[in-house]
Amino acid sequence: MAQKDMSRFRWPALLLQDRFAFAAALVLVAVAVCAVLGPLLIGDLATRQNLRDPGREPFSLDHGWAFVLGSDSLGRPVAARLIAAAGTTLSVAVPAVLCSLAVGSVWGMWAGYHGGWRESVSLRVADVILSFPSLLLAVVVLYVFSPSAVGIVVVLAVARIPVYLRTARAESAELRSRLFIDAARTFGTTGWASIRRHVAPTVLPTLLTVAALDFCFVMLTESSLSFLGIGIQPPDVSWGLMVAQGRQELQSAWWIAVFPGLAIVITTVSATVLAAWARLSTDPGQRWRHGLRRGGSRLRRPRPARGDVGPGPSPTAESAPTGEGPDLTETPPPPLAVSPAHAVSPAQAGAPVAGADTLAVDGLAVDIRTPAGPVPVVRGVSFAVRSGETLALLGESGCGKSMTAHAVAGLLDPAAEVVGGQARLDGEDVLALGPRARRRLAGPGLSIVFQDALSALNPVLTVGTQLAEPFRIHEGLSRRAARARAIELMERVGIPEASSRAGAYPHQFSGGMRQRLLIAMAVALRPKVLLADEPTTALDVTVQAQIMDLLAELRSEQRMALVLITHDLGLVAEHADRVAVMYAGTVVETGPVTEVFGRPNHPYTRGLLESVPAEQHKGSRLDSIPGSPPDPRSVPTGCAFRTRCPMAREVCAGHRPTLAGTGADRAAACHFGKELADA
Amino acid sequence: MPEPGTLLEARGLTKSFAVPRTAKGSTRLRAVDGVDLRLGRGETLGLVGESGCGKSTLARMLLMLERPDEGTVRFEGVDPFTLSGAKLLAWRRKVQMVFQDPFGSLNPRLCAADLISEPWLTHRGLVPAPKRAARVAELLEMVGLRPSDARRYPQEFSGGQRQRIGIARALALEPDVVVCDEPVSALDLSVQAQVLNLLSDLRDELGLSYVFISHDLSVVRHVADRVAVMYLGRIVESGPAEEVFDRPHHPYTAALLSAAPSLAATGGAKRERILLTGEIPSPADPPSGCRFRTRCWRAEDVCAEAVPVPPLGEPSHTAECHFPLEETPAVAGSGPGGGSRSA
Ligand SMILES: Nc1ncnc2c1ncn2[C@@H]1O[C@H](COP(=O)(O)OP(=O)(O)OP(=O)(O)O)[C@@H](O)[C@H]1O
Ligand code: SF4
Ligand code: SF4
Ligand SMILES: [Mg+2]
Repeated sequence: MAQKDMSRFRWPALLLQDRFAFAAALVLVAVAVCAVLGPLLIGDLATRQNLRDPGREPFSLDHGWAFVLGSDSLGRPVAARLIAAAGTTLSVAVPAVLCSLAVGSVWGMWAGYHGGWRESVSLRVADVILSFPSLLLAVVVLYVFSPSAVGIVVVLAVARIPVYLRTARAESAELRSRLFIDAARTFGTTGWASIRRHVAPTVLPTLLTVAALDFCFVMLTESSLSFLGIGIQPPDVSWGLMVAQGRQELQSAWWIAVFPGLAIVITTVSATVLAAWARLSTDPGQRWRHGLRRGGSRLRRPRPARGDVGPGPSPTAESAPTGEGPDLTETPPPPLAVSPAHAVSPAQAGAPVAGADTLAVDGLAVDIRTPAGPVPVVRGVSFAVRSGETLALLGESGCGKSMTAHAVAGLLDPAAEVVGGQARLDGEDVLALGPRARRRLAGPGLSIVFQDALSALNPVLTVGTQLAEPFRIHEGLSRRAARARAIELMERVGIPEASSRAGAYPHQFSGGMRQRLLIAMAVALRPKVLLADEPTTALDVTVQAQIMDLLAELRSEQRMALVLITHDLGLVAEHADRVAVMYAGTVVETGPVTEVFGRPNHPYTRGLLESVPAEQHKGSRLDSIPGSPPDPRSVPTGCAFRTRCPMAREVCAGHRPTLAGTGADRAAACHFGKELADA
Repeated sequence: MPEPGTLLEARGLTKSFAVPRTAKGSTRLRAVDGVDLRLGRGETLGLVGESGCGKSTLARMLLMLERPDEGTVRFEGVDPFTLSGAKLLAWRRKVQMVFQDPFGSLNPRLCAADLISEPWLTHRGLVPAPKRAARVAELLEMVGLRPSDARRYPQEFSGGQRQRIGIARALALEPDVVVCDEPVSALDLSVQAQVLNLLSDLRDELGLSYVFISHDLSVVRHVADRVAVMYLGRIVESGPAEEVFDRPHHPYTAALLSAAPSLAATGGAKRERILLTGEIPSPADPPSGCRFRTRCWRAEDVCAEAVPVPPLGEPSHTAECHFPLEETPAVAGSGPGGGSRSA
């Protein structure tokens, strides 16, 4: 029971889902029981007419349970008829849905997996069937071959095949381009074997949801057929037939049509809920993502006790210095021994001082909300950068470098929130500003260049329009003047034939050109600080060199401070003045690039430098850091690097090292940083 | 090193794709255009080039995932495209692939054990069903994972661990050749080194031959015995790795080497770099004559008119250029790489 309570606490959303699914399953079981045992239960009650007492009102037990839902115009009890009809209804709807599901899905997966002519022919066939009004088809067929349950099933199944065919085709065609299908082909797994192993398990759950919805359609079509007299033939009774019969008397006796209608809806909804649940629970990836989305939509709430986050860092070592965040009650850690960069004291921070930091980030902490509680992804990051200087934020994927940049730029994902720290732009803490003040800063104060230029540009606006936007918003320029400025800017970043290409759309530019456009947009208002988040990762080396040169030129031209976020040691070596090495959400070492790379003072930096395949290692084994970076949910206590560190000792498990000075303008967060520096 | 016997050979491989009509009116994109390739037994061939130059398409043709328009692939003298049925399956066993994307190449619905044993469902005779669990455990250990990881799903693994699963799966069929398409480019540096070590250990243990595709020159330099440099669908230079990296003949290779950021540059000792101007032309409209001429600083009139051909005979180090760089030392990267670092 305790186990259950805990999972309820962690997965309220999922459990709610489960509860629905459970109820849905109960409904379906009840319907199935009625279908099977119905005839035994009610005998001839459903067909026995009682003309003396037609149209009894529902909700009265005076005449026995069978009349609880009233009676119809022939005095037959609606409740009993509902139960009797369950069997007939299901015996038409279930086979019809199953037939179309089976044929449509197999056909669709085959067409989608192979593509080519098989795909186009199949789609044409589907179009033909779909464009033929299914009711009309049913009428024709059933008039020609006298109405029978089998006939109805066949007609309904054929009419619905295209729906499954199309869905299955679309999903399999998407899978066809996926690498794991190619991987299977390299072992010789092709055709049906591949469809069975890879395509079907992915596509079928979706189709199941479609099928569940289709129940409703099939039952209603059957109702229409019954209305036309070619559906289920009395004295047999189905829900559809009941709706059809009740329709004429809707004014006088609403219950005759409404209850069977409700039965159809409730059955369909239950089937849909169960199908959705089945789809979620068969997909190993979905469960977690689903829970995450629900959790993320919740607003800021008090943190649960630390222990819930898992084997996380110990409370005192973990908490970040925080100016706001009233929910943080833990004692802040001792102040950093040395401010990571140029030691700006808060007193100094009031006004911009010559030579002072343009941007100083101090103790920045960011949490991500998950169903399992907040996960700290940035855990007290501090760095500073001066105008005209390039600071590299170096780290492996998932170490929190982008999250840091996004927090500073005010572009955090809704699921993430800043829970502590400051980011002072010329002395003013931008994290404390309201959204409007923030927006005013974006552009002239602080701007950002993203890795993926294509998704960062608006695909439906011309680049000229997009580049003119900052001038219109911030400088209030006229359309024409702003456009002239935009073209000037395009020329500045090296786009040939700028005035004619201003009318082009982003997708008409190559990757390198798009990155140039993005940079142009970012520097349009001459920002004091430019955050460049992996600006060249998507580009080729020869193009990357061009872009880095452009950034360097702009930086010295505009006296910007450039924060270069990257995982590429070579880029840092060539293009940065100072570097802040990040690991598991914190800065572990800072200093001038030459010194840090020449003489690393932190075991992680050292390991990283040694992992670079350089020529003197040629052919031999590389010195690699064992293991992989920790999951933010389970960062080791004490020093986050200790599980991979060759120098780890007992003290490393107990105490989290803080960034402490190890030399002029250098700092490292290691208990033995000083020793490494002196060695 | 003694000349190893040829294991895998490609001649004149060409593959084009249909594309929407371009500005110049062409409707075919020649992703790979007349590529010759030779892989010796036990050898590692590095294939470098920028994205879109056709590396992956070439790899896919070697794996029969794509049928070439022209040209032949031969594995131990046999053209796999003429095979079918059991013979084709037997060939499939010999040549396997490690994919670039460790996220997309593993079916998220299968656990590690299912993923690794999947090839045996097709190659039924290879590992009898009762022995499969033990063999999966063995393979997991071989690639540095724990046998207890067998029941975990791909999304529970890190990128590096997923790539290990991909490698284990490729090894499940005991291949002779493994084509690695950017096997480490999705990985973190600290993890990349582990995977590179794993690949070279496996090569020594199992006598594998690799076709190793990468855009990262330092990685290729580390693993490859021979390299081939691709530009816009053609191999513009090939030769023993050391020679190509130290004395590139083709201007493009030289530019590529000099553009790659390297740790050696630490300390503001800015090296002389060859900065190419212009963008990579679209492979649908390659320039006439030499494909590199729109960006080449040595280009002359003849480059626009005549396609450069490699010298006759089969010297080990060849470049397709009218004016190859003579024995000039490489502009960059040839110095002691970590010179400014202390251990
Ligand atoms: N199925 C396809 N249809 C049309 N064009 C294609 C197709 N596959 C590849 N191409 C094109 O062929 C060219 C070569 O592609 P390929 O994937 O081989 O490049 P690559 O060198 O592996 O690049 P990367 O380093 O980015 O992986 C590219 O221009 C690509 O857009
Ligand atoms: S504090 Fe200890 S575990 Fe952490 S880096 Fe330093 S030596 Fe290694
Ligand atoms: S053939 Fe001419 S254009 Fe081509 S690489 Fe050689 S010098 Fe340059
Ligand atoms: Mg590729």
